[in-house]
Amino acid sequence: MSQIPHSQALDEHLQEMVLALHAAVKGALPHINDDPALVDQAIRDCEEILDVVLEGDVASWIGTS
Amino acid sequence: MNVVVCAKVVPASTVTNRIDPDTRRLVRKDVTQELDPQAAKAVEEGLRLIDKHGGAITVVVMGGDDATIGIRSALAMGAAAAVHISDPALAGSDALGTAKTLAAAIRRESFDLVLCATESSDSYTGLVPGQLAQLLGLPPLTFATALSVDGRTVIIRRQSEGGYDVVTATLPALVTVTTGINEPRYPTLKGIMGARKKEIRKLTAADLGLGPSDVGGRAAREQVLTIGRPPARPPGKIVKDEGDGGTRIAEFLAAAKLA
Repeated sequence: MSQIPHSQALDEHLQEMVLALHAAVKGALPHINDDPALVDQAIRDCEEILDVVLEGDVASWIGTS
Repeated sequence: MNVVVCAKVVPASTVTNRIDPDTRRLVRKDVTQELDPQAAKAVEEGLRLIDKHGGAITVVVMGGDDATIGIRSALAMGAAAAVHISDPALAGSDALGTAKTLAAAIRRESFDLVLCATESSDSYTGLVPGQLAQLLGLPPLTFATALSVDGRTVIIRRQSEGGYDVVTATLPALVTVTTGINEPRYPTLKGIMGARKKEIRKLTAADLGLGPSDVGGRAAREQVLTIGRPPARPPGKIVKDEGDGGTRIAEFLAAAKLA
């Protein structure tokens, strides 16, 4: 497996994604009972981010592809 | 409409804050950072304004190199560009030094409105926005719980002890927003990927014409003399409802001037 030589960029990108997931969950949790549409949207947004993470195309995340 | 948002990048809410006993300041080095949740509300309010009136948001941040993560969050939310003022010469700046730095950076921008949080969620001094307004020669409209723009007039609901006051000013102006003004949007994947292509302009103190007599520890007039834990909160009062619960709640709220 070849090494990705941009570990700082990768760290930052993953951190951004985790912060976005955290913000989405934090924003949705208070509305579980009163705004199901908002919660559904947050879940879809989280799923979209997680799909990209699971796909693991690191080079595209940090703009080297 | 061009909006400048002054933002701060602070230790993430998931981090347990630590005070350095020698400097009596918050430890920021090697700590996960994020866009200050208070600043995120200012960004959100700016985004709502430009959604309605058109224009763009520029985020101005003073902070170390690790502030990039928070700046990218603001860009991922929808800000068009960012200015990052980072320089070891700025270390130890007090509120006035910070205001001078931000003012010098903002003067280089074309803006109609400057938005700030009422106070940051790490140091809570609440001093910078007023100083910034003075340095920029702008009317400060503070403690906004709602904000709108009509033509060249900015209108806020200003939180007060008994409710709110409606305050207006002609643009350009500076507005500080309160915690309750909105729920900020979170960055989506599209926003995160788009933010990587947006411009972050880096500036130093020298770029802004600022020297050791303006900013940094030597110029600071504020000093942290002591630090300590807040006093323990008194225990709550439990009232047993004996059919008069509603009345007693109303009396309690009236006594606290909350009703």
